[in-house]
Amino acid sequence: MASEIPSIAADHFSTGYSGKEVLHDLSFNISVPGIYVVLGENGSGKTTLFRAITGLLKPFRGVISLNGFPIQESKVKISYLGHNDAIPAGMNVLRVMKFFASLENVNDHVLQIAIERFGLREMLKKQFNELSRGQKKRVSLAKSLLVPGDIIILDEPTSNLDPSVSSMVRNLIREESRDRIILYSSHNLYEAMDIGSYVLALKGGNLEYFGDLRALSVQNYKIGIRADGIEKSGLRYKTEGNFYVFDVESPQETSELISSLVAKGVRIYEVKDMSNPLESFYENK
Amino acid sequence: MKENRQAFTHLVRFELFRTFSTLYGLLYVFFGILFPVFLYITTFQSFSASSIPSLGFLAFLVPIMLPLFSQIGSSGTAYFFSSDRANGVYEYLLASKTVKVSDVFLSHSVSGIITTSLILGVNLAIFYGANLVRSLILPWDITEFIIIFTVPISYFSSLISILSMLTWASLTKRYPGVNAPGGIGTIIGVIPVLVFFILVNKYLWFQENIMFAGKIFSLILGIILVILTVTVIRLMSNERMLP
Repeated sequence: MASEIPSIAADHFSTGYSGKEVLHDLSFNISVPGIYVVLGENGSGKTTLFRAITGLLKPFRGVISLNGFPIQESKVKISYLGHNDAIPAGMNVLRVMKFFASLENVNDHVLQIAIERFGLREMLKKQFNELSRGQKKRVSLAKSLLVPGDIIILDEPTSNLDPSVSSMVRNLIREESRDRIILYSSHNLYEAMDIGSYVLALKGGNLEYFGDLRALSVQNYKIGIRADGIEKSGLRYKTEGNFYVFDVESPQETSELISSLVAKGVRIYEVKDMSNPLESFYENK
Repeated sequence: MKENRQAFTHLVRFELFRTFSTLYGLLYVFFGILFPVFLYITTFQSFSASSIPSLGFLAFLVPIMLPLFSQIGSSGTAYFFSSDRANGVYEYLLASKTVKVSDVFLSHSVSGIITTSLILGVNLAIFYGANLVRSLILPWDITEFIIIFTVPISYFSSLISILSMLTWASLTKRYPGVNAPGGIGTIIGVIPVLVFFILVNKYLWFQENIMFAGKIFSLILGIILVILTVTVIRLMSNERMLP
């Protein structure tokens, strides 16, 4: 349970790697709990921003404060899920979870709750590297959220996951958002609108937009679905390569479309943006 | 402060657990024990108590080479360091403030020392045990050499290997193949013993003054270890363990 309402404030903050600046002069103030989607294309600085907020990267200029204190002095508990699974090699899932539980100093009861909540019971005896991508992500998320921090940072938590696992992961994350600040990075505008309340949009290391995600107007965009049996669904579509392409107007419509296809017995393998809605987002904001 | 100490203890325990329970860790430990047994069988088996004094440096072969095997045996920790860093384990632990950089560095050093102690202990027990079974009474010179050379060089080699690995990991970004921190550390760790072996094998002076040479060698390696330790401590302040 979060102890107080957390906050993150950046004041003319710049940082990067080995003297090369990646983020330029960022200023923002997050003081309302909720899910903040850090939106941007690959290389826009999302991961760098997260590493800066956790204190892994030092500022070149400016400062980031957590609950009013500079990062190094702050006592705010941060839960972090990076690009990598961050699971030690050569271990089964139970051993992995016990290792992180011991580091977090949590008892067996808390560990068992996490195992149930993230559906890990069936895979406890399996080696981590034998798991599917979706199962690995669940273990990785369970490890990061064993003791949920006041601030939760999730770097593209659903990348490379199939739609149903992505949806399950997003539901788990939603459950944690009360009284907490969750920073959730994505380069997928559909995903952002599905889960987020607010958005920090980065482009080339600059903060292009910070505000309410619902206030944004987004043009129609195309969703590509790779599936078997879609021809019999009776829906109108075009084809591009292996993908059946549908025009949708909102994230809700995409969810409804997928549910409708699944109900009709269509087997879905992959869902992706066929146009780049981020480009129109930046143009229209 | 107390929490940090607990996290450090858990890190050490976990690294030791992996060393002695996973294939990679056990493989190193296995070689660290198997090779000396093989060396003992091929050299000491034909010796008799009366022949040892006339054998010269050959009688010291096992004690000279034992540090090399102790170091190789404890190299599992290097493998785990490389893979954990590449997998983002340290990035996660540091970002979530579960451990500090110094905990990671120290835990590897401590688990390396403990593993070295176990392997060296087993190897010395086999060495003395086998001689005892064969009623082969070793001259005091060999035990003295083990005290001044084998034991300290075993620890120094292992620590130099681990600290080289940590230093290399800090100074480089990408490390495929042998260029990996674990590979570099292991190679650097075996160099001292091989150098000593070549010197003793090649130059009569070293054979005749093996005790003195052993002491000087231990001293030099001790100084190198101190320099490396200072380097690692300085690097630690900027190290973020990013994959």
